[in-house]
Amino acid sequence: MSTVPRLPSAVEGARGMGGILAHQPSLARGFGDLYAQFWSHGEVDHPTKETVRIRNARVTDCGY
Amino acid sequence: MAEPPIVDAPLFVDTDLLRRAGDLRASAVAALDPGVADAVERRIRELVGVPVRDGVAEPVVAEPVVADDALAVVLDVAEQFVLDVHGITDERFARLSDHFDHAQVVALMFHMALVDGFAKLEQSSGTELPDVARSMEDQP
Repeated sequence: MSTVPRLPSAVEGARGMGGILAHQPSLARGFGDLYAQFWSHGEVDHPTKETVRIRNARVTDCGY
Repeated sequence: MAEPPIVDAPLFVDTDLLRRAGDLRASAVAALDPGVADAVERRIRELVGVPVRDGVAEPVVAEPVVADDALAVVLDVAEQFVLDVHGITDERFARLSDHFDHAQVVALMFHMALVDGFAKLEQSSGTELPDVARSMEDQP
């Protein structure tokens, strides 16, 4: 399961995805905006979104 | 005559979500060499089986924007990303760092993920999604 980053963190002491995304601050902000919009708006209810997220993570072996 | 709708499929009505996705795509592309970004997009869309968008350049062979072996490494990872992401081994991923710095690798992976996701969205829905970021900029 992939939770060990293959790139070093851009921020000392920061672990996980955040430290990786910090290599590209504009992308990190854009991803945050998109993810926030996805989870806070839309036609699909949260249980369905979460079910899809978990299923996707399992298929791709994503530990997040 | 009225302008045709930007998106003609009922699946794609959340314009705020599309705008953010388009912004993210544009940010990823802006962080990359245009030739590399175009080559990745072209290859992924070919693999997924959706038309290559207008404006996505053919790879320039005579004057490569990056070394041939660097582009080969990128396209190898991009193909594996589409076909089976489990095939992106530590060794395969590490080869990216032989040619690109960490920030570029992050941008490359974002670009692959977004192109792959949107191409598969188009393939599965049977709808061609326009260049959202570019289209949205024209909106009042």
